[in-house]
Amino acid sequence: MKSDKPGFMLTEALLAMLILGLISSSIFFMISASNRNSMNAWHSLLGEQLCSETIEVFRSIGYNRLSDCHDQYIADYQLNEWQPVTAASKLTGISRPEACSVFARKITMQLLEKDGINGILVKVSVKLLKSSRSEDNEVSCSALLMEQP
Amino acid sequence: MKTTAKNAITLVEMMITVALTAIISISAFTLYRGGLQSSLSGVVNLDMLNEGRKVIAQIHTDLKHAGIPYHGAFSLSFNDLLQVDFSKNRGLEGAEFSLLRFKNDPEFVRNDLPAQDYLLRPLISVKYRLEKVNNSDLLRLVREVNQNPNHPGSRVLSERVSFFRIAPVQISTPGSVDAWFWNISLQLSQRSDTANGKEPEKPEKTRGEGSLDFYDVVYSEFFNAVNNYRHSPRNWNTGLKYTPD
Repeated sequence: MKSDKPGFMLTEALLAMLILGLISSSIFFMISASNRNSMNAWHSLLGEQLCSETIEVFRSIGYNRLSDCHDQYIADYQLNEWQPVTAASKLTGISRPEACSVFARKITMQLLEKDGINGILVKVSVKLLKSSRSEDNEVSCSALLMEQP
Repeated sequence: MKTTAKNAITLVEMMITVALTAIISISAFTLYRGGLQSSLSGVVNLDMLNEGRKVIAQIHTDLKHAGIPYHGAFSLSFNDLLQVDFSKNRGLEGAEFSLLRFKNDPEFVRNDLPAQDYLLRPLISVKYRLEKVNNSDLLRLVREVNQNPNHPGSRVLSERVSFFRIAPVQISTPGSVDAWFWNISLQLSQRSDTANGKEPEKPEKTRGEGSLDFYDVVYSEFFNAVNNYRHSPRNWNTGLKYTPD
């Protein structure tokens, strides 16, 4: 049906706005996804680094001294509870990027024994403190520290 | 008076059209440019992320295998393992971090030593050097390996370093012996104005503004063995008993 009045109809204007809106929002989501992926990769790397730092420190201490320790803290590494990560540790002197302060870390130690061979399973989990998708943002790693023969 | 038929476009209509087209074009261009920049920045960030990861892994391996030559009984200090030289006095530019490390591959050699029944694993010299990049405030990180004194090999690890530091860290641990580590800090930047070549103590707080920070903590296997077990053989690398066939 052809309209007698010159100019755009409301339907045409709405359709144009809808198309424009769809294009704009898809570009916006594309940019947003790109930024999010980049940040996720960055956070994953930091999370891995925070895990490997703990494993490195505990591995250096070794089974013998760790098994004798009954405290809740080793240096400033708290055991069995989520602990916010700080950019600079006064107790250890380890300096980390500022971005590490958005993470929390949990360390657990489990004594293992089989056929007279002893070991400690150290498990470290790192997650973002404020995250809408916590299941995607938790990084874990573990190491088995064996008793020295 | 004869009236004019309105078939043509008036000046006002044309100006409105031009103005509307300009507004839409500018916003579309801004959106396009923003998207392009964001995409480019994402790619560069991922590239920096991979580069930083590789640099840190390389330094981690070198420090993990750091050692010093065995000359019989000796007292060992952690600071003997890594020499840091800021003598060029230009901040980070010209700074050198030198160490001796054991090789990765199990290449055992028998040198002409008085104690013929000892097998020594060779040490190689590794040096990390920060150099100025032309037309930029960013620094180039070069790793120089001196396996053969006549043919020193060097490799550029990164050309966008804005901060780099390897600092010793002492941690009080359960028991009487403290643990010693190196704390590596590295900042890579896209833009040269974030470089921090003057101040070797701490990086600029420009995270998310085209800069990425990396860090690592690593101990020397050699030092750890000597430090923890003072009555054991000095280490498995330098004191292995050699039994000829």
